[in-house]
Amino acid sequence: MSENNQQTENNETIIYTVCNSHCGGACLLRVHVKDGAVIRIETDDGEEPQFRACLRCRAYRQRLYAPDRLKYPMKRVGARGEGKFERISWDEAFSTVAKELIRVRDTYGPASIIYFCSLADIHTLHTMAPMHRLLCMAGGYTPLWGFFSYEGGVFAECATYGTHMTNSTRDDLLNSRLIIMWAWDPAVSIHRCNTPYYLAQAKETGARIIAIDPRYTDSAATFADEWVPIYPCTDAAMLIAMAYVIITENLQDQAFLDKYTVGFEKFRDYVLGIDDGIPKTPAWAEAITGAKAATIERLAREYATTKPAALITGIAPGRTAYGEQYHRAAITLSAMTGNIGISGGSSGGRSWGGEYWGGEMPFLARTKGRMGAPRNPVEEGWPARRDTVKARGSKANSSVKINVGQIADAVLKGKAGGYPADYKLLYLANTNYVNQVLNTNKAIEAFKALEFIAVQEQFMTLTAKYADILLPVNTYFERNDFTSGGATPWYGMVNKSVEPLYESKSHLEIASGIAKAMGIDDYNDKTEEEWLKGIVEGFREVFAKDREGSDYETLKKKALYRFPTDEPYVAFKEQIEDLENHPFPTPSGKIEIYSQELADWDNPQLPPIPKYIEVWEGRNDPLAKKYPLQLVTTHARRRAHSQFDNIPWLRELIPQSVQINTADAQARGISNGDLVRVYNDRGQTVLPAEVTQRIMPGVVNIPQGAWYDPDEKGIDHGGCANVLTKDAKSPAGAFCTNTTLLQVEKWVEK
Amino acid sequence: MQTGFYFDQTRCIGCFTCCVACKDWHDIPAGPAHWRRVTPLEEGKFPQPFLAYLSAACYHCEDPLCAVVCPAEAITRREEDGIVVVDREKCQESARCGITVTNGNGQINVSACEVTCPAHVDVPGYIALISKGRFKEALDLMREKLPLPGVLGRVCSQPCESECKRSEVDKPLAIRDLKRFAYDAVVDEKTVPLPRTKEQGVAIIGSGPAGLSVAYDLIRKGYKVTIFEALPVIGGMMAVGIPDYRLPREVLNRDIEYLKGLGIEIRTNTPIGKGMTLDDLSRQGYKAIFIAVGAHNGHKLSIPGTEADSVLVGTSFLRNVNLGNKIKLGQRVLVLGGGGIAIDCARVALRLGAQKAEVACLESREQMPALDYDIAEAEKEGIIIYPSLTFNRVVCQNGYATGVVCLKLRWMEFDKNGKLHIEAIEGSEHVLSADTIIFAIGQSPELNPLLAGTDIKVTKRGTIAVDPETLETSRPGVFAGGDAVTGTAWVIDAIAAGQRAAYYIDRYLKGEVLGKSYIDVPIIASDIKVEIPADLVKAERQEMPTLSVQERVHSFNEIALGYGEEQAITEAKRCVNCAGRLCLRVCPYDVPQFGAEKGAKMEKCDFCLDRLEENKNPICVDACIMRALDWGSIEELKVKHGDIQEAVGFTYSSNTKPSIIFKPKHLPDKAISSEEK
Repeated sequence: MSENNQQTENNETIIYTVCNSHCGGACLLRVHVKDGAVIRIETDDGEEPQFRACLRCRAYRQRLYAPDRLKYPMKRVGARGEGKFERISWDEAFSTVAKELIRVRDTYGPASIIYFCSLADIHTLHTMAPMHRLLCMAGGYTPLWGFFSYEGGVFAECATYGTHMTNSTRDDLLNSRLIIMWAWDPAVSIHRCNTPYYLAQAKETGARIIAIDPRYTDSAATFADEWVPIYPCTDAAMLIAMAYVIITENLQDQAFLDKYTVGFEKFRDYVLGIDDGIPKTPAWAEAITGAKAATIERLAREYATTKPAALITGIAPGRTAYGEQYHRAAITLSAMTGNIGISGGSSGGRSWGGEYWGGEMPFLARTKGRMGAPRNPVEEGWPARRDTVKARGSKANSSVKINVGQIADAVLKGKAGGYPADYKLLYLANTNYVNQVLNTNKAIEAFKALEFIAVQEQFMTLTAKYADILLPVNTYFERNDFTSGGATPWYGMVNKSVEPLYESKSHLEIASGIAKAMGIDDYNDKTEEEWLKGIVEGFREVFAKDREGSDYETLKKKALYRFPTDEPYVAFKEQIEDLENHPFPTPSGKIEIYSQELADWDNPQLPPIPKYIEVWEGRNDPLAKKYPLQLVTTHARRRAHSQFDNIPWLRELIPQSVQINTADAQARGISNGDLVRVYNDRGQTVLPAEVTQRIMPGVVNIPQGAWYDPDEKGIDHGGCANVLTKDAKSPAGAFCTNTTLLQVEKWVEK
Repeated sequence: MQTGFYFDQTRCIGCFTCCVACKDWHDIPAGPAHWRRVTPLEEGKFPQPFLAYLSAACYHCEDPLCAVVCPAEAITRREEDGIVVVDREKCQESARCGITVTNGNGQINVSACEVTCPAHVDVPGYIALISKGRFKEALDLMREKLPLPGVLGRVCSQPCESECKRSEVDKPLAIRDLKRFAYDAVVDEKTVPLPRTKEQGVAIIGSGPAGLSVAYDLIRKGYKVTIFEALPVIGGMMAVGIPDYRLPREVLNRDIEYLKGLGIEIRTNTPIGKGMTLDDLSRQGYKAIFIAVGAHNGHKLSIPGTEADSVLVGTSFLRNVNLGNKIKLGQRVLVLGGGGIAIDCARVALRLGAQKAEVACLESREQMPALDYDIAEAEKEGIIIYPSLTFNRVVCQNGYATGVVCLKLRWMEFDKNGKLHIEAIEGSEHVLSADTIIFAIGQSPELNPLLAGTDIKVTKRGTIAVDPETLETSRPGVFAGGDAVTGTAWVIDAIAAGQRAAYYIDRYLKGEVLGKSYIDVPIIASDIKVEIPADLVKAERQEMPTLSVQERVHSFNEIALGYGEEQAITEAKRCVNCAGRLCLRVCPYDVPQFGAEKGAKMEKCDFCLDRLEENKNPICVDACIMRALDWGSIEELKVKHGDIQEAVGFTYSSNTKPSIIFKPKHLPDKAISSEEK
């Protein structure tokens, strides 16, 4: 540890490290360590732009030293889900997991092993890579495809741009004259360090800011000049109606469309109703979205005539059924207004995760294995996936993969249900999967059916309770790693602050232990430091060759390498300035408003041009008679998904509650703070109501990530949103968290 | 020099990073985080809510009252920079700071007096301020809850005093007299109209204590408030029921002028029901109505002879006197009734020149509802009380009353349904002679023509029927309270009803479900136990000087003369401060100045003194991800940031000038588009 100490005052060592806890940020921490213990946490106090950490990392000390941390390896002694465990040694844990991996592989074949590691900490080494390498060396496993957060967006970007690296850096917001925050609440979700700060500055320099959202979010309240509430699952309709106004008033940037796009005419025919006899007028959209036609018209004109304008498309509307269409429509609108590739504009691509400045690197490392794994034998022999576009990896990825949200369905149905295999063993890391996947109750059922479950965890989460073997993994305060800042352009080291607590181990140590128990001796011949040095140098080679301060040794001291920020990085600037030499990586070399690849699929649910498709469990579904309210499951300020839900400093700030409009509450006799039962056919949860005007009537919000907490009758009192959600998958894999109908009633203890 | 914070409301996203950073830096265990820096506020109706954030840390006041009242002298303001600091050692040593215990449930921080007070006025807080000579601040603190401190300093039924824990040592504290003193000690009280922040207006019918109380609470919440008063004078029973010798007109008027100064509109000679109706008020745009018409309708017993000319009704009698109308009164006046009004009728009769004034009542002496103090004073003035009597008939001669035939009672009681049971002593019949008889046996509200023909329900007792929790009548949006709902009660009860009604009217106007959300105190006085320190020295209760009997009975001059300053401070120092935490009580911003319990870490903002030594900013300033915070000398901050406001609390005077300036957040000019058609 001594090599990465920075500064000593009052016998305190200050370690510079980076927080990237899947909160959406990626910020600098200065950790005060005294006598081997973290005593305080500070953040960046250097030159601007400082990367200041938000409340989650500032509370990390309570997480690091939480009394409920898992301290030792354990084996289950009660029933699955009961939470009864017994302490075992690491040797026993390793040998049990190894034995089970071998047994299941040899009995059912390696495809019956599912391994999933979510992000949790958006790092490079202690993440998916170690177990991926091991399992590939040990015969293979069934991998998953798809992103919970934004598969709809990634698909749309790949289909339209040929890449999902579509984001500019955040400082470019300062160059916008109009910013449309479409379902975007960076005040809560941070969405890369300093995003709210840049928004405040943009507002102060005179940008007009409009929020389109079912909720009057904290971002809307702080920044927006105008709020347009619209119903969930209807965003594409509003975007398409805006296109109608632009087309009929001839406000589109025709020169841009002619030069850089293909298929605008086909989209225009759809919008005008030449295709289907339905002109997609603002009045048409008003009936669907709840936004007034006059508002849609005015916004369309404003967007088309104000330049540059940034349409920042949050990823929540993409987490609906047919969420792919919303993102496709947003990109098309950005093209129609000529805002792509210019400073102060926006590609219309998804608001988070599509940053080239290194955003891609950890993904590559995570999915391919920066540790250099052999090709997964299970994927061999299976044809390429046919359910997504080439740019999204349909060629490279084998169809043996199952969708990330479909583990439960796959386990319950297996080969008989059309899945490539029968699944028997599940190895999970960095995820409270049961809590966070759609339809928690179905996941519970599936988890009960598995032969063996191993879980790497820090706390006794719902998912941990279903494990047969629990492997206590350490936090990023207790290990070294490498990460990057996404839309804030830096990369840097996660530097270890303290020695691992209790008997917890890192991902690499755990995988190495299992490897040894499996008899795979050549699994790991390097130390953590050697791996990281290699990763840093490889990264540096590509992104910061020979640049001062970008080397491993400096990063150990300063944590960050900041890219020179003379001007903001603007996505697709190269293509727009010089299309000939920099074509878009699509089949046509242009932005594909019309995609021939999609047309060839001939799937009405994935049309070649963006269309509005009415969802299941929408407001017009007959089910709405029984369950009249639409659910959205937003991010919570005090959590990063399900992380941090148990941290006292954070818990006291904001109670987990269901936001419900006053009118809806009154109709049900519900007062602010009353306990209510939120339910549908899939499940129920009891939590306090937050009665507010800040959510539109007909919509309720349960922030996702609260830990499922069943009573003796099995009723959740934790406010876990996913007991209500439906585990259906949108045609291209968009995760449908925001397509759910339900009812709310006052809770009466029976 | 005053050190303070600058807070840019327009930038604050309410993320609480400052709170968590503060807790981490000072190693504070989990606890109420809203004390630290930000509190989100939400106002307005869908789709136009307005979100703002107010900071709520220690404001390091220019003249910190917490330092003034701390019995352990643990709080000081640093000369060099004006930072208010707490000496933790001294804070925890203070045995006198908080000695209240409940039934073995550990220490609590409420006192018997304040939980007994129907309006829950912070008695220990203002008593402490008086004891330190801070009379203006004491009055300010009273005004936090009380719209009529002047009136209550004179006529409050003072239930608090009967629960005062000082009586375990010697005698209870003279709380009412101290209240009066602080009020009298402050001259030239000035008010400015409060800003109107809400669109809706509320109509209040009746300007008595209940109506004024609702008006006071609602105007402070930003509503437009209009009071409609049928009589030519303002104040209801306080104006036309209570005689001047107990409540001088100028005291009532000062209270009323204060309220009018806040922007409350009061229209006298405007009865509702005759010309203008309830429906008219709704049509005029009043979104909620509060009915507080009081109980002015006096009754006579249904016994023979009451139709005689010289048989009067107490409330009308007092009203006529107070309005200066001519009254025909005989030489020997007999008042029937045992309440405060009966006693006042007799005392007024004496002052109007009656030779003899007597009171006869059903109740035994102990059961009489009038205050003991008032009965005693009346007796001093020569009024004779005849308790435990029932009245058979009024004896008349030539149409004039000459007396009342009475029977002595062995016992009487009202059962829980309000039905009277008596047992008379046979053969005890006798006549009390008098030439004027005044009935003061209870009052009921006059609800016609106000409610005639409306859907608002009335009880069997002739009072307005309301939900006892919300005080809403059978018509949504119409609330009622005070004597019109309860029958005759005390001023302080009417004020408490007004507070409750205002709370629910606010919820109603915000479109919220009323529910059962009003939080009253969770404990009653008899459950509060204190451990009086063994070394506490006995001290005489200070008695107020009064006019001599001779001086009183020939005029309406006020009887009680009030404390002198020295006397008041001596009396205030008798308070044993059983609930402690005076610092928090007197803080205009409810900021804790202490560690919550023994061993607790520092909870009060001290600008991170340890960081200042290293030339670093307070942790919250360095933590704010929006760069919305700054700190330094207030003067420099003003120059640096411009376009700022100074934070002010409503309750406190400029003496407590807080050391925070902020850039306020305003509603966007072009707000929300969804209303467009």
